[in-house]
This record gives sequence, C-alpha cells and structure tokens, in this order.
Amino acid sequence: MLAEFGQSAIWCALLAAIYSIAAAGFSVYRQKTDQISGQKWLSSARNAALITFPLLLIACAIMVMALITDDYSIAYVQQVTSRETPLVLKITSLWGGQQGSLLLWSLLLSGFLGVAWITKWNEKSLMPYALIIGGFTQVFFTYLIAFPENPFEAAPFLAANGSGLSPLLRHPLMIIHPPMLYLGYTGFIVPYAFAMGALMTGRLDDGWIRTTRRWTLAAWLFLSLGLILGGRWAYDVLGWGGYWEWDPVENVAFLPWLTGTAFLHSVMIQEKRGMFKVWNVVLILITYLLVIYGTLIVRTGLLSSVHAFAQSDIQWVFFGFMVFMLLFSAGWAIYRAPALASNNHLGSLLSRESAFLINNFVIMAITLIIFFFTNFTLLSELFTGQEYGVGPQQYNLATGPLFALLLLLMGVAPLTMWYRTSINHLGRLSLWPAAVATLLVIGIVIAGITQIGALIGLWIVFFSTGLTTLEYVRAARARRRSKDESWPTALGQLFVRNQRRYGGYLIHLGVLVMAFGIIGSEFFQADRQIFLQSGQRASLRDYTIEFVQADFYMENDVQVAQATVNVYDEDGSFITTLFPHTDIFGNGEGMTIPDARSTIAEDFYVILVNWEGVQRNAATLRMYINPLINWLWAGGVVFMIGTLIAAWPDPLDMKIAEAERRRVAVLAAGD
Amino acid sequence: MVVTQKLNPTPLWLMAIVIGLLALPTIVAAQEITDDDVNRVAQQLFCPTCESVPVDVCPTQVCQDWRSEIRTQLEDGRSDEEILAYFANRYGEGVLANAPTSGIGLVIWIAPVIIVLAGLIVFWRYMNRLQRPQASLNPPSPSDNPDIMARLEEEINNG
Repeated sequence: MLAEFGQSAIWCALLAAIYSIAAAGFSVYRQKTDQISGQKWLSSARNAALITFPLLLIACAIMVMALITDDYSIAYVQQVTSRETPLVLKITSLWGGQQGSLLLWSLLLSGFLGVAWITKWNEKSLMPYALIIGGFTQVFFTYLIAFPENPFEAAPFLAANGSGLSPLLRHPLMIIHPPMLYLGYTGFIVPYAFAMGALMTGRLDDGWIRTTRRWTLAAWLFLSLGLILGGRWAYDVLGWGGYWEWDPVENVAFLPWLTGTAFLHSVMIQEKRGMFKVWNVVLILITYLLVIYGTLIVRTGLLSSVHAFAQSDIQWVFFGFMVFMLLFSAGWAIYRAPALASNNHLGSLLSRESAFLINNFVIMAITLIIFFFTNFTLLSELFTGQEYGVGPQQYNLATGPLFALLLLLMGVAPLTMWYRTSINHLGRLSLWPAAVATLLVIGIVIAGITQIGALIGLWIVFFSTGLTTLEYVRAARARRRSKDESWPTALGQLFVRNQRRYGGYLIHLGVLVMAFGIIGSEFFQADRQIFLQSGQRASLRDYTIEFVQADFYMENDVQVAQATVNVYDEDGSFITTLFPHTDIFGNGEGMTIPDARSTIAEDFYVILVNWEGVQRNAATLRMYINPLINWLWAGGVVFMIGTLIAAWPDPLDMKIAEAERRRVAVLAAGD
Repeated sequence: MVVTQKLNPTPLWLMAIVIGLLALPTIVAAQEITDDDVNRVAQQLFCPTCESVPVDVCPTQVCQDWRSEIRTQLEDGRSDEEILAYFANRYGEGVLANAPTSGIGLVIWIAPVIIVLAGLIVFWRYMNRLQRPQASLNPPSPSDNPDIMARLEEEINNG
C-alpha cells in the first residue's frame, strides 16, 4: 500500500517534469506572437518544475517510513536494512543502496533547481531554456527511479528480516559524505542550465555567469566537503593507512571538482575583461558531463567490474543520455563559437589573464590524465582483452608535478595585474617570500631530509604561503594608513569589503596547508607489520608497541575482535593505549578500524591485521607513521571557511538584485 | 737439496669471497621473511578481483593466498622481480601496480607526456593569437586592478 503511494508520487513527479519541459518550449514559441500568453506558459512550466520537489519529498518520506517500519515487502528495504539496524541507520539507509541513492539524487536536483527557478525568476530571457535543460536532466533521473531502478519495487519473496546495511556504510562519515557529493553534483546542473540558456538565446554576455556564480560556489563547496569527508572516512575506516587511493569512485568525484575549480577561476576573466567566453561555456559543459559520468560510474559500477556491462540496461540508458547531452551541448557551443569571440587582447604573457589561463591549462591537463587513467582499465580491456589498472604511484608521478605548478601559481597569480605586469613588480614582491622559503628548506635539509621531490614541494608551499599572507598584510596596511584602523579591524574589513577576493585567498591558504600535510604523509610515511605474542614488543622509528591481548565480544549484530596495544616512546615511557579492531558483520563482511595517536607532527596508526582465534594472545599488527597528516584535515577546515566567506551573500549584491527586481516589476506594470 | 718452491698462494680474500658466494643462497634462505618483506612485494600487485586495490591491504581470500604464495617464494630465495614476473606470467601484466615499460603498459607512461605537450602547444598558439592587437582595443580600466587602486588611494591620502 505504502509502496504504491510512493511509486505514484514518483510517476507524478516524472509527468510534472515532462510537462514543464513541454510548457517551457511552448512558451518560447508563443512568446514570439503573444507575450502575455508566453509568460503564462512560462509560469506554468515553472510551477510544474517546482511541484516535482514536494512530490519527490513525499516519495522519500514514504521510503523512510518503510525503512523504519521494516516493510520487507519492498525489495529495497529488504536489501539495505534489517530489524536489528538502529533507527538512525534505518533512516540513512535511504541512500545506502542503488535505488535509494538515485531517489535522493533526484530529490536534491529538484530542490536545487526549484530554488534557482524561484530566485532567478527575473532572468526572463534565459529562463525558458534553463527550465528545458534543467528539466531534461530531472526527467532523466526521475525516469530512472520510475522504471529501471524503482526503489519501491516489490520484493520477489516475503522475508521476515532484511540483510542489513553494508558495514562500510555504517560509519557517520560515510553517512554524511555521499549526500554532500550529491549536493555538489546536482548543484553544478544549475550553472550548466543557465549556460545552455545563454548559448541557445545568443545572450552571451556574462549575465549567466553572474546569475549562477554563487550556485557554482555552493556546488563546489559541497563537492569539496564530500571529497574531504570521504578522504577522512577512508583514513578512519578502510584501514590502509591512507586517505586517497586514486580509486575510480574517488576519481570521478574529483574530476568535476577540478573542472569546476578551473571554471571558478576563468569566469573572473570574462567578468573583468570579456575574454574566454567560449572557454567558460565549454568548462561548465565539461563539468556537467563529468557529473553525469561520475554518477554513471558510481551507480552502475561500470569500472569496478567491466563484466557487469551486459548485466543491466541502465548503463546503456545512462550512456545514451550522456552522449546525447554531449552532442547537444557541443553542437550549440560550436554553433555559437563565432559570436563568442573575445573582444579583447592580451598585453603581455605576464598578466593576470595569462596566469588564469595557465591555471586552466594545468587543471585541464590533470583532469585529462586522471580521466584517461581512470578509464584505462576499460580501454585496455576493449583493445587487448586484458584489464590493466593504473596504480597510485603512476597517478602521483604524472599529476604531482602539475599539482606543484598549481601551488606555485596560487602564490604568484594574485600578484599579477590585468593586461600586463612587469617582471620587476613580480620580482620585488616575491623576493622576501622566496628568501624565507629557501632558508626554511635549507633548515630542513640540515635536519636530514634530502628527498628532492619533497624539498621542491615544501619550497613551493612555503613560498606561496608567504606571498598569500603578504597579500593580506599589504592590503590591511593600506587600510590602516588610509582609514586609521587597527590591524584586526583592517583585516576584518578586507573580508567584508571584498569577500570574494579575500575569501578566495583563504581557500588558497587552506589548500597550501593541506598540501603541506599531503607532502608529509606521501613522502615520509613509514610502516611495519609484525606478529606479536602477548607481552612482546616491536618498534617503528621512535615508537615501540607492546601487544597486550585480543578480546572478542558482540556489539548488537557485530562481532568485534579488538587488540589492546600499549605505545611507548623512544625512552620507553608509556604514551597511550590503542584499541584497533576488526568488526565482522552478520553477513560476513569485515571492516578494519584503526586506532591512532594523533599529534600535530604525525599520527601513529595501528591496524589489527590478523589474530590467533583460540589462544587470544597473539596477533598480527600493522603500524604506520603518517607525518603531518593532521595538517591535511586542518587545511580542509580553513578551506571550508574560505569558501563560505567567498560564497556568503554580499549585502551590496543583494541590494543591487533587489533594485533590479523592482525595476523589472515597474517595467512589467508599465506594459 | 730441498727445493723450496714458493707456492703462488691463492689470495685469502678471494677465497673468502668464493666461499661467501657459495654460502649465499643458504644465508638468504635462512633469513627470516618478515611480513614487511611480503608487503613490499604485495603492494606492487593489484588484487585480481577488486579494482586497483593493492594486494598488501586487500582483505579478500584471494589476496591472502597471494600473500602466502609471495612468502613461500621469498623463502625459496626468489627476488622481488622474479616473484612479480611469476604473477604477471600467470595472471597477465594487468596485475602489476607499476605499469610495465613495454607493450600496452607503455601507454600509461607516455600518455601524460603527450597530454602535457599538446597542452603546451595549444597554449602557445592561443597566447600568440591573443597578443595580436585586434580592431576593438579595450584595455582594462585602472579600477580593475585593486593594487593600483590601493596605491592611488594611499598616494592621495599622503599627498
């Protein structure tokens, strides 16, 4: 009964979305002959688009209800939950499986689009096209959950209990990070819809960019958050001592983030200088396609198992949709390319424009390499019949130098000026940071570290951090002189006056701090695996562990094997006790949970690899030292704060928008 | 007469080396193989069933078997390269985490270089085109450069 109700809600949402596209299309046609009628059709199209959100919300609510009330007549409920599952996990298992995830995806998409349709309603000329494009994506995802991936499908047999949520999905970070990624993914569809609107109407000024700038930032914020939380989850739960393994699922979330980053930078050139219009449209098209591609990979498991290709039709539906959107968008971009020609030229290779352009080229090179590597399994299978994977070292080797170049640009680019910059200007401003960075690196060499890659990376991090900090200092000093403000006030005012610029620099600082942590943990990680009897000790660098015992107990439906490990420092004095454990779930799946002693310098991270079942007094442990890893997480926090500042609604912008709304209203009344 | 023939003595150091070399396999075999040794080899191999998961951290049964196979072979005195070659022969080169520098593995090494080179060429041509003055010149207004504005402001205040 519930299931039918939920299913009908999805069908209604699908119908409303289809109607919305048709009405928006018709409004364009009517607009030519009868403006008022055209407007009415456009309003109707928007209202239909808006109704999809409450309808999908009802569907989600019903699904949650079915999950809570253990309604095992629904296949999805059987699959992702069980009677023993705690209430919170029952609710979050809404996105614990394929169909539920797609349902949530559709809901978030309709929510995002709905807010855009309401707040950007005065963009009358772009609106019908944006409605059609956004609506088309909505129709596609709603179609998926209406038919091939129906979350309310009846179970083939009645079961008294479900099989329970996959253990990996029970961790709080795992619960929170997929919705963040979905929010990021769906958020990028708004700027794409407006960019397509601009292409289709030929209104190619930066109107669509200004309209969607905060949307892009918000999408980017959520995607970043999803990536960082996902990395933290891997570090805390997956038990291989790392946070990023260049796994296909990670990569496809990272790809749209990269192109989104390029887009956020290159739109500034169009706003200031009217250049790179084609490029910006292309960038957002690529970002959109990568979002669809990422969803395809994650949702159909295309890359994790090439052989699943023939098992389900959904890949082909997805693939067809992606190719169609690619051809459609690219066709329009090519058609409009002549009109998108730049009406400006560059004064010099040394200029803000070219700095942004280099940034874009480097990011695109990284994107291409990661895209190629990620798909290499598939390509090699197609061409040679054998699967070749690409290992993390290969990724690091190919993209590492390019990332280093980006970090360098991060420091230098803000010094450049539009049109032309003199080399003297750059040299003068970067002299001190370069000197300080060199001294620091010399100090590190004296301390005994000689890995050349790490030293170059650290120099760049110090140099760019110095330059970025100086940006704040110089601007605040100027304010202090002219406005007679105190240092804190002057610094605070910078963020208020130009939140985009100084929020942006804070993002840069966050990335640099993260880079510091990444260099530390990538270059200087140490590990050791050892079999210990109770009371035996083993050392790794300055740490010595003593295996005390292993314990076994049941926690709800989970069987836990836990080791007690004492940690001593180099002098032999006791530091702490760690409890790494392995959780084995009812369905036999296991999860290795490390325990770590964290300091600002490094993590000492211990995993219980194996244990002797009977005597309980021997175990295999793996120890890791992850230097500077906590800088990565701290940098992530700085990064988020910076993004929030940059994306926060600007009071001045709001006033301008308000005035614009009034003007439109007055004009409309005057008609 | 006793002829004292001075023997040409085999240098002691040479004998030491020969004996040492002869004894080497026994020494290697006697050396205990640690988990770290196994991990060193295992992390250069991919799990054959999971996607791009190194064998040293993979919890599946297959990878456990592979790890004990690696241990056995190390105990038999085989080198890391020999063991990797054994797995590549048996299960295909795809199991190697570090792509081979021949055959299709070479593509992995060359592709990034090609991508970067192509990027450089496109960038260069694009920059040249952009620097050519066009009909509608439109240099930026000074207000676009906050640095200039800050300096102007400063000078006005000081003057």
